[in-house]
Amino acid sequence: MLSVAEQVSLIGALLDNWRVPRTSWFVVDAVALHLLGYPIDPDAWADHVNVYVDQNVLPWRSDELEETIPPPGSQELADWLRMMDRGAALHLVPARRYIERGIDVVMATLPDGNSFQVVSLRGYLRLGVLRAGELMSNVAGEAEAVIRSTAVLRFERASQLPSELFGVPMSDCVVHLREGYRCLAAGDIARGRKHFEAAGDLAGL
Amino acid sequence: MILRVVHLTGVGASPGVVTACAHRVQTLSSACETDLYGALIITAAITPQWLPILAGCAGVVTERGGVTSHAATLCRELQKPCVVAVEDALRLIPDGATVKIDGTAGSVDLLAE
Repeated sequence: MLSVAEQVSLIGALLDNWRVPRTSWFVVDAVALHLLGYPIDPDAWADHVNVYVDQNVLPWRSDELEETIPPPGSQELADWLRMMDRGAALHLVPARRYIERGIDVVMATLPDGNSFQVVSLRGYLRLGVLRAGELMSNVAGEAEAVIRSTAVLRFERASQLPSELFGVPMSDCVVHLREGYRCLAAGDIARGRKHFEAAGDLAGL
Repeated sequence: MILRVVHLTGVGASPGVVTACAHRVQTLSSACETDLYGALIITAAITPQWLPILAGCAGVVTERGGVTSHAATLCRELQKPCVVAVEDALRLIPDGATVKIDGTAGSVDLLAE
């Protein structure tokens, strides 16, 4: 299996071949963070390189929001399948709706010398916020069903819990856990972040 | 007594009606070793790596996923019928069965084994 860097290089060549400007697409998720040097295992994503693209610059049109591929029988689909034969697995997301709202990207240089845009850590977090908002609005009409099913599931799981743990009533265990989590107060997290910023090792932030 | 399930339901994810021979596929690697041209693929879920296989199949049924899953979006783009979230499809649909799926209604009918 190709490394994710090699796959990104093949994807870049494919998009270059279609004259898609390099400023119109970027790599996201774990692969992007890996290319920026974060200690993320890229193998978990080797079958799935996520790329966000401004769909208006693609040589085909699609109404899809989560994934697009070239039309059946097109030269572009043949190009894509040839790229897959060489070992690259591309998930191309039509992302103009996110790009228009501003997503931080940085250039990442691959071992073969090619440079492509990847989402920065700040951009990655912003994408998470935008996607979460989108998901929430998508399920707005089903909110009650989601809450009901979640509540029922939790109740079923809770009913399987023992009434005590190591001789301690379960209600006391919950209080103990809550106390334990208090050490991760907002102030501690903020101080930790400050330290990371001073260390200068948050690439792309 | 043997109970034979003849009608399954899921979520219609890519429109179209097709009748084809069912092939149960557990993994991508096993899919690559089988001739699935013109077959109705029955599997658990699909990733982007399945694209070359999907391009030649008649339709897809998956046990998991929703209308924005890979199976759904890839099939819509390829104009292949697809039904997702068909519970226990891999267990209930035998290999070689003639199956009709409706990608709008979300129905899966076993016509013959």
